[in-house]
Amino acid sequence: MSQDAYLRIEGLTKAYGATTAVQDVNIEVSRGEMIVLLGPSGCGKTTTLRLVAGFVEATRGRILVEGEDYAALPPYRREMGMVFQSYALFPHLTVAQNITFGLRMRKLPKAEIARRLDEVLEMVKLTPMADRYPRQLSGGQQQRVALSRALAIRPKVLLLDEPLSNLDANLRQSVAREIRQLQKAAGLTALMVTHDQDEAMTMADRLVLMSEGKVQQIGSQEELYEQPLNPFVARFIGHSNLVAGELVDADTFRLPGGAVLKLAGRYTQRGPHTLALRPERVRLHGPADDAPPRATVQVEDATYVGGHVDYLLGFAGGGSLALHEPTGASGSARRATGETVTITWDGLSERLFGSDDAAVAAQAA
Amino acid sequence: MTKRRPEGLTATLLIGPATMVVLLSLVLPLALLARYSMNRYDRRTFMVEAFTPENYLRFVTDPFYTGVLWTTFSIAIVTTLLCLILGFPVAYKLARSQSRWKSIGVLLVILPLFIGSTVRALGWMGVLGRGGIVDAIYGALGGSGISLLNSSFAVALGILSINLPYMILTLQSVIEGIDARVEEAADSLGASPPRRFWHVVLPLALPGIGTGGILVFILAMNAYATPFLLGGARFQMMAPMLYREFAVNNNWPFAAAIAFILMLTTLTLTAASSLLVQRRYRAH
Repeated sequence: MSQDAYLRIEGLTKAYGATTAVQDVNIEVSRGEMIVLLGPSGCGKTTTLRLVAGFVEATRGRILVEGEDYAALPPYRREMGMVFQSYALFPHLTVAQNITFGLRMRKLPKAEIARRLDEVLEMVKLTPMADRYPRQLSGGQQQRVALSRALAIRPKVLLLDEPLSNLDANLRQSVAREIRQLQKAAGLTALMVTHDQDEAMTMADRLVLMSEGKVQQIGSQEELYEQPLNPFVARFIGHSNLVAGELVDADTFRLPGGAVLKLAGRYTQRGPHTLALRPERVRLHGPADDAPPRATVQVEDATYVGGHVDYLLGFAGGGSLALHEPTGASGSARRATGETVTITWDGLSERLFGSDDAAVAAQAA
Repeated sequence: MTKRRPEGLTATLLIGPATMVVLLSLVLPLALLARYSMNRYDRRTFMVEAFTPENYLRFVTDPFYTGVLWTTFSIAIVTTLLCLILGFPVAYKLARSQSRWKSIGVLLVILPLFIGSTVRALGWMGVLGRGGIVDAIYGALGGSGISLLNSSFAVALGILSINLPYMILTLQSVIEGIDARVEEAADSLGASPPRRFWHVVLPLALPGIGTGGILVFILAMNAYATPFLLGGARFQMMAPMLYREFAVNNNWPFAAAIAFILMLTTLTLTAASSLLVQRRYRAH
């Protein structure tokens, strides 16, 4: 796919004096693909988007659309449709004037402008609102105007900066679905920024997880969830437990406090490691369990949250682990605080990272 | 438990003092002045009780006085437009600045306001007058004895320098209220900087342009020290002329009429321009 990438970001870097907001970002996007940039606040995802839009000038790097470098062009020559978190509608213009703004800037013929306006209004079901001003619309409607304003210019790339975070929680899903449908229907290549993991998971074809200005991992939802490349990805996507310790032999992972986890002999690399375990992949070990018990822990806290019981388990000598047990399935009762229990997980659920944060290769079980 | 005071009473108590001050210091003197302007002037007894429009008629029929009004109006319009043209870029830059020097910039704009207009007019005299800085430079270039004082140029320059900070500060606060993302949206939709300015920034800044323009226009119409010191005897504007009628000629009725003409002209123009701005704003 490296040759036929529609949008290619190469070595994109933005430095403000001594601090680097975005460092050597490389992303390849296929035509019609929706890429979501995800990460904690201050990770550089928004700056990356603004670099692509041209609002921020890159220190280094290239932004190629169909092989043509856009990095040196001013934003008004880039033809990237941008949707802002604050909608950024023109308050002095009606819905129709907002949507046709880009077309008027391009000096398209009147008939063409009218045609596209109708088309776009139809698409976002805002035809009856055409003569209203933005302040007369609800948040969801404003967001749809912002989206259709960007779609009307038939942008080379659609850029979405936290498009859902100003919306009510119950509106978010439907607008998310709508954005996705429109993007797919128009065959638009899109880059979206969000800090919300669920939003990213639902919207994206592929995800780019960023932290401290760098790309941590690019991949599908499954790849980021099942094969995180480093402890940061493991913790950010799905809140993995990260347990520091040392692999003393193929089978034994020892915590600094002395507690021991059994790892079924899959790893050969010795030394200090970090073990990543998803709370929902760990389970309390019952007498009927086929898998061998992996560790003995004490219940420090058990919270019933509906779908599952949220356990906080402590290792002897320090260190803790979260565990989510589905409710209702096995009829298991909630364990009392202070109770000693054994836990286990299926063979491939854990992931081990070396002291350099790189994943330690596991041998086939 | 304390008893609740009726809301109407609280409001009256709070608004009361300010209302009294306005009533006593503004409305009463104005009413008195209006009455004076109908009186007759006598060389020996000065003001004679009467009810005549002759003071107003004298003003509007004498080309000298209407000329002074016209000069005042022209200077006010020109300085207001110059304030707008020169002030907008500065206000915009200040409003959009995220640099830590921003507050220094704002301070630099405010600083001249600490110095009274009389002192600043004197400063301009030192720059523009005979033996002043301009003269010295002119002399060094081979010329001799030039004074730019007592001219419309000197007065306009003086008023401009006094009014510019007001315009900049007014515009700055309005531009800061315009979401910077809105400008970026215009950018991303293909508006080049001039078109972005024309189609987005200007219409959104229009209320500020109106407010700043009106403020600066009123200040210029009523300027006293600047035209008095920089305009000299030959260059007449309304406020110095009014003062002369009042204090030197002791013609209170005519001075009162001049005051009312100046006030009404300013009010009418201000109201007209703000209506214009509002209509244009709504049309968008």
